[in-house]
Amino acid sequence: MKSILAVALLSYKEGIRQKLLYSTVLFAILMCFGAVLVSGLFLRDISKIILDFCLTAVNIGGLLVPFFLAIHLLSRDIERKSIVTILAQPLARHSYIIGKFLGISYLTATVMAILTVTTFISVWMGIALYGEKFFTSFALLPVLSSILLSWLGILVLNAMVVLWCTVTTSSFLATLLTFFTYIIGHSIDDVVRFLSIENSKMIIALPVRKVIEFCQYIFPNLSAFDFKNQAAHGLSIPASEFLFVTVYAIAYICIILSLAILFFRKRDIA
Amino acid sequence: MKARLSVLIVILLSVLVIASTNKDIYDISNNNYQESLGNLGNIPSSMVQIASLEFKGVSADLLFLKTMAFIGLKIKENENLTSEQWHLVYDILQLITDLDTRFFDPYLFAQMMLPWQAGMVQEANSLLQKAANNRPNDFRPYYFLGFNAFYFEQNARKAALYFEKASVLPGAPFYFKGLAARFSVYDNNVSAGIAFLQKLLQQNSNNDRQVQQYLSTRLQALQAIQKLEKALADYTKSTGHPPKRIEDVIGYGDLEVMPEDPYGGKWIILDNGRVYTTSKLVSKKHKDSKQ
Repeated sequence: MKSILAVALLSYKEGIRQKLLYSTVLFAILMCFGAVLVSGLFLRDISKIILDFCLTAVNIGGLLVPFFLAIHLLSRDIERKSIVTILAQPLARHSYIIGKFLGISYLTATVMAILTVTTFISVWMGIALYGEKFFTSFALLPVLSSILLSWLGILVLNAMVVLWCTVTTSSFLATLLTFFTYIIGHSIDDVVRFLSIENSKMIIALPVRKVIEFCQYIFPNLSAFDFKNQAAHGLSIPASEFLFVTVYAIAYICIILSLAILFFRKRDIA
Repeated sequence: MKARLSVLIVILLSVLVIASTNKDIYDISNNNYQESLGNLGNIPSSMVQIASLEFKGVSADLLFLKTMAFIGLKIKENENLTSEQWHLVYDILQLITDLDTRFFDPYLFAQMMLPWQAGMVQEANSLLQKAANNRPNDFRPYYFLGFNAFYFEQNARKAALYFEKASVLPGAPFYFKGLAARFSVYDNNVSAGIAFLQKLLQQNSNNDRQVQQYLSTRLQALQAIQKLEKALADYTKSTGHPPKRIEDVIGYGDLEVMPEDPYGGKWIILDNGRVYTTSKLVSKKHKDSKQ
C-alpha cells in the first residue's frame, strides 16, 4: 500500500511540475469572465447559461489530464526506460499501475476542484451583475453531484489511458485510442437509442448493427456520467442514479486496471 | 537590430492589414451566415445529439445565440425574413430544444417571434407544448398557449383549459384562476368555470384570505349568470319569445329575486341571447384605480 501511495504521490508531483496548474488557473479566469459576459446575451436562463459554460469548462479541464498529461506521464516512463529504474526498487508491477492511476486521478481532482471554485465565483458574479431573480433555479447540491459524477467518468477514461499505455508502444497510439474511447463512450448511448427507433426509410447494414452492439458491451458508457444539464437547471440527481453510476464506474475501473496489470506483467520493458 | 526592425515592420503591416480587412471579413461571414444556419436546420436532430457528445447544453446555448444573431442581423438591416427563413428558424429552435429540452429561452423566443412576425401560431404552439411537457412545474408554457388560443385563434374554450392548467402550477399569479373562469364565460361554458372555481376553492382552503375572496367573488358572479341563464331559457320556453329586459325573467326557473353582481355591474342580455354584466367581471374599485 505504501509503495502504491509513493508512486501516486510521485506521479502527482510530476504532473504538477508540468505547469498544469498555471494553465488551469488561466483557463479558469477566462472561463469565469467569459461565461458571465456571454450569459448576458440571453433572455432569461442566465443561471443555466453560466452553469452550462462553467460545467463544460470543469469537464474540459478534467479531460486535459487523461488526454495530455496522463499519457505523457505514463508513456515517458516506458519510452525513456526510466521504468526499469523504478521497478528495480522493491515495487510490484501492479503497485506501479495502481499508483500511476491514483496519481493522475488526484491530478484530475485538483484541476476540477480549482475549476469548481471558479464556477461558484462565476455564479456569484452573475448574481451581482444580473440580480438574484435569474438564479432562482440555482442549486448547490446538483452542481456538486454533477461534477463528482463527471470526475468519476474521467476516472474511467484515466483507467483506459493506463490500459492503452500498457498495451501500446507509442504515446501517439495511446492518445489516439483514448480519443476513440472517449468518442465511442459518449456517442454509443445516442447511437443505440437512434438504432432502436425503427425507421422504415433508413436501413442499417447488419455488420454495422453488430459492431455497435459489440461496442455497447466493450466500451464504457461515458454519457451515463453526464448530469450537467440537470445541474444547470437546478434539478436534483436521484440518489439511486448517483449510486448506480458510482458502482458502474468502480466496477469498470476495476476491470480495466486488472487488464492493464495483466498486460503490464507480461510486457517486456527491458 | 536589423532583424528586430524587420519583425516590427512585419507586425505593423499585419496589424494594418487585419484592421483594414476586418469589416470585409465580417461581411463575408454575414453572407455565409444564413447558409450555415440552413445547413444546421437540415441535419437530423439525432445526428446533432450524437455529434455534441457530452456538451449538449452548451451546444444548445451556442446554437441559440447563432439563431438570435441571425434574426438580429435581419432586424438591423430592416430586412423581413421570408417564410422559408422563418421555417428554418423554427427547425433550428426544434433542434435546440431537442438538445436541451428544458432550455426556456428558445421557447420564449418562439413565442415572441413566430406568431407575431411570421403568423406561425401552430408552430409556436408546438414548441410551447414541448416546453409544457418538459417543464412540468412551469406555468409559463400553458400561459402562452392560453394567450395564443384566445388572441390568435379566438378560441376561448381552449384558452380557458390552458389557463386552468397554468393556474395550478407553482408561481402562477393568482388572477390566472379568475382568467380561466372568465374565458369559460366568453365561451358560454359557465358550468365549467363554476366547477373549476369550486375545485380551486376546495384545494386552496388554506390560502390567504385575499385570494379566497377573489375566487369566491368570481364564483358568485358565475353562479348568478348560470341562474339567470336558466331562468331566461325557462322564460323563452314558456312564452315562446325571448325576454326584452333581464328583469322579465324573475319568477322563472329558480329565480325569485334578481341576484346582485358582486362586481357592482348590471345584468344585461347580449345580442346572442346570453347573460352578461356591465362590470365585465372586473370590480368597480379595480376599474377606477386603472383609470
